[in-house]
Amino acid sequence: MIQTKNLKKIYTTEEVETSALNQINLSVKEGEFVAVMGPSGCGKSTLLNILGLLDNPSEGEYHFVGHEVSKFSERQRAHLRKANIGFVFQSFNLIDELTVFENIELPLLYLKVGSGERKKKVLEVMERMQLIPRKNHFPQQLSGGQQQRVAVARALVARPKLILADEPTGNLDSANGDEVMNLLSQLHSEGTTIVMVTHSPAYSEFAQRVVHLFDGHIVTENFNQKFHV
Amino acid sequence: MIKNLIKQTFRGLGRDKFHSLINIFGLGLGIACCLIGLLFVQSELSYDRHHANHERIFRYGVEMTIGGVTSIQSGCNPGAGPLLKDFIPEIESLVRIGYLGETLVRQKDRAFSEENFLWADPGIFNVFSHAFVYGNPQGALQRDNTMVLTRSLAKKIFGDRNPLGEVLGIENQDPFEVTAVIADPPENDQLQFSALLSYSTQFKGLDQAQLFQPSKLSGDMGDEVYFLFAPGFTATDFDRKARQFYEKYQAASDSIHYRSLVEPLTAIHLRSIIDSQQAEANSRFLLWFCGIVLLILFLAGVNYVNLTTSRAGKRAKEIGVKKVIGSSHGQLVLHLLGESLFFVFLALLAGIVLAQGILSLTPLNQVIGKHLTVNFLANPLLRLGLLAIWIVVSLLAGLYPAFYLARISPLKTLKTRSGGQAAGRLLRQSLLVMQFVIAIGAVALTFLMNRQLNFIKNRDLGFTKDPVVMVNVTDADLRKRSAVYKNEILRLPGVAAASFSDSVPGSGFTGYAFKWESNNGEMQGHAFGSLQADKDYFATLGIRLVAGRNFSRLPNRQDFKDGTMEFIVSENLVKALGWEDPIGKRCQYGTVVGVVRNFHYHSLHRDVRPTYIVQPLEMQPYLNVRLRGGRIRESLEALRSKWTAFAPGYPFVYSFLDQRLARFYEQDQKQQKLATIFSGLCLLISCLGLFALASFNIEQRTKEIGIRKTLGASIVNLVLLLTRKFAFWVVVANLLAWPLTYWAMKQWLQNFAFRATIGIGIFFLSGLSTLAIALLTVGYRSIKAARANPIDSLRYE
Repeated sequence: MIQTKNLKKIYTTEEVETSALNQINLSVKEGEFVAVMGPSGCGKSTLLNILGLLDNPSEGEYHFVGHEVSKFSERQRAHLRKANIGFVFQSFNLIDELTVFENIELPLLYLKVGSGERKKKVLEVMERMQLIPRKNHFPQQLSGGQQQRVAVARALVARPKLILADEPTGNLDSANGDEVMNLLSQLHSEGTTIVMVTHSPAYSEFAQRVVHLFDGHIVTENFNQKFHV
Repeated sequence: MIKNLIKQTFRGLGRDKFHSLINIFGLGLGIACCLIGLLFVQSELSYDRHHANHERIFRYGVEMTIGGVTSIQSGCNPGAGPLLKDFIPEIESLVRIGYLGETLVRQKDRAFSEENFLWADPGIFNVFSHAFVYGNPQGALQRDNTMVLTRSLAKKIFGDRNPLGEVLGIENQDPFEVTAVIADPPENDQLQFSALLSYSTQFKGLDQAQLFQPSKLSGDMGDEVYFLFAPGFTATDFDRKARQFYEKYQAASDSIHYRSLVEPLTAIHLRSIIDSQQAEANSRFLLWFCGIVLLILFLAGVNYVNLTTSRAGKRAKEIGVKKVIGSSHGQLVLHLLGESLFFVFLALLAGIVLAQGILSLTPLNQVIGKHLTVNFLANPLLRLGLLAIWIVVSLLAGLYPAFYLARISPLKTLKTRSGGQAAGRLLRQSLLVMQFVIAIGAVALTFLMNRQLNFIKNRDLGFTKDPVVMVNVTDADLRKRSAVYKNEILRLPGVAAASFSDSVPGSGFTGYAFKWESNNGEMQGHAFGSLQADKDYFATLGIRLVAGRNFSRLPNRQDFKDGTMEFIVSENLVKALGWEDPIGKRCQYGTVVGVVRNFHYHSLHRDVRPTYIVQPLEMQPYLNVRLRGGRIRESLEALRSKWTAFAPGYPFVYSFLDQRLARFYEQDQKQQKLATIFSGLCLLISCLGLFALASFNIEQRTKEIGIRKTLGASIVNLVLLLTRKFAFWVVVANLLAWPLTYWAMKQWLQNFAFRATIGIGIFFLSGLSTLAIALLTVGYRSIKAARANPIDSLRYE
């Protein structure tokens, strides 16, 4: 599903050129759960942004579901993105002015799904996430764990092929963090491809494979034992 | 500390150049308007205060009641001043002023056509203060046939040499000797003139004791009188004494309830009771002008507050850090106020440049009839005003943002990108709607003014479209021979027709009351407009005869006495008298022989006056010449050369009919220009405000925009999302503005007897144009935000 060749990302300011990613060769198969780890500033989020089609690499190739997308325009990327990728962020990134239902509905709205079908799909995913009682609440009225569940629901509602999670447990206490990880794990078992950035070695064990980044390079790739026994 | 402050402020400005420029420009514009307002008020309030005795100078007026209608006028009989002075010893001095109007001045073989010549007593130099360039107050205007020139007229006629003792010819008068030259009256002197002629000349050889009698004061009331009172003598004292005078000399023979009154010189311009219409117009204009100027400053100040608070998000973190490392609330407020002072100082500099730019590059000065300039050296009040504007605007515009920013909790600002800023949103939105109500109203009124002026321009005034030249034959001697000139020019190929008349549009138009036959044969008194013109007049001006015939023979004095003159009347005179068959109807002096279509001799501010036309008994001062279309310049040159041959030494003074007609609407055109400047400023400032709020809104929603974009929103989706609300406000502003504007339009159109229709189109046009400009403003900002990479807004949380 994902294949990168010699991926490079360079940030240029007036005086300094910083290389955020260097010679990244990574492939993720359909249905795989990959965790990306590394210290602050090693390029994890940059990688995730490129994988998520939010940003273009400076050099190298990126094949996503059969397209070479590294030179895609913003419009082309947006088109591919909204149909195929769901995002979960550390800080949830829910829109404060919209209710739980409306937040989850948003991706379908941009996909121009008809209102009847939209409602059906949103309620389906809400039921699965046990969010029905919170339907008309606003994000501020929910706990962190609940907010992240809404975010996951929003990422799922359009049935994307890939879910990108950027430290999804970073703002949560351990109970809520566990809950979210269980949720992702369950999605994975149902066949969803997941790429997750995390600082937590414990949560990285939920993934089949852990990629370690340091200074923009992939230094090691470990396959998790429990999936290979 | 101050160095630090300036350094930080400059860095802040540099970091956000675009907003800083907009902010400085917007506030500078407001300050510029305020400065201009200040100069205008200063000029208006300074009227006549340059006369050393201004507190003791009073203008005389007469209140009278005729047929139940009471009116006050400054015009009085030439005897009123001297008789009252003899009776009231507290009147130290007086000056009588008579208006000579347009006159021909001859110096040797050169001649000049001049306006603003006044008859004046020598007392003018006791009452008023005039600086003498040549001569002195004692010698000036004492003798008959002496005159005083203003510096500019003296320079025009004599160049730089001393003209004392020189002699000038004044038309229809014996020659006058120049006895003094004085400085031109300043523009804030309500008594404007270019030369003074000795008042006594008018009564040369007449028995003045016989002429000036209390019983004759209620007639021949054409002159003005200014008194200089003894210190301590008031208007009330004058009333008392004047009543005694009335009881003693006038009461017995009074038929018009004559009452003398005075008003202070300094009240004439803005608070006159004698010439209340003009004073009210002046003070109304002053108030209106100040209102606009303060409104613009206020709106610009509001914009500054909006822009500053909308930038608060960017400042919040800095303030949070400063608080954490120990800055007190007071220190922060002081620092932010200091910034405001410095910032407003920059806006002040911009304002000075803008004000001078507006005054010298736009027609504003011409529109308000002034010569305002921003001159600090010569104007201490301006320096003081600038200082006041600086402090007041800095505090008013700086206090709210300073406290607003300093209040932000350090924890919140460090945790999130901006402190909670929902507070004040309603206020900001209301202000925005208010700005747009004003802008839409101003734009709609400007459209209406254009429409009305076009309506006037294109209206059929009842005259020919061919060029008509009107030549002045003001000199009485010349007039007697002017038929020769008419015959000469009729032979020119470019001349189609020519005729004499006693007046031209705008030259003043008289009316007389006498008896006219009504339908039942009775004779009744009516007042109608009167025009004296020969039989070629209708052909010359293209006025159509709709019934009867033209004049058939020249009248003489006997016809006038016998009532055998021929009369031609306008259609609306026929209508006014209700005549069914006008031809052959009688009036006191003759019989109606023809009817012409109505023609607009006056501006369309007034209705067309019912008018009769008779042939003059002597040659008249205006020669109307209709030229054939094309080659107008050549024809005009031919007219001029014939004139030079006919009247050597007399200037060829002429005007075009269409220009004369256009002059009626000069004031309206000025108003229209002022409205255009004003509505442009309003729209500009409103858009700056809108831009501020759009930036504020977008900054607050940056994260939301990023999320939506990540979730698949297109640029179009986002721009619609961001502009929708603003479009809604502008639509609300339209709905509020329309009824208010409709009312204002109705008021303005009251000035015209002939009005264009208001029409819904004007509202749609102004509504749509403001909406379009508003959407462009917001759209620019929105597209920029929608195109930004979402990861920038989502990365650092």
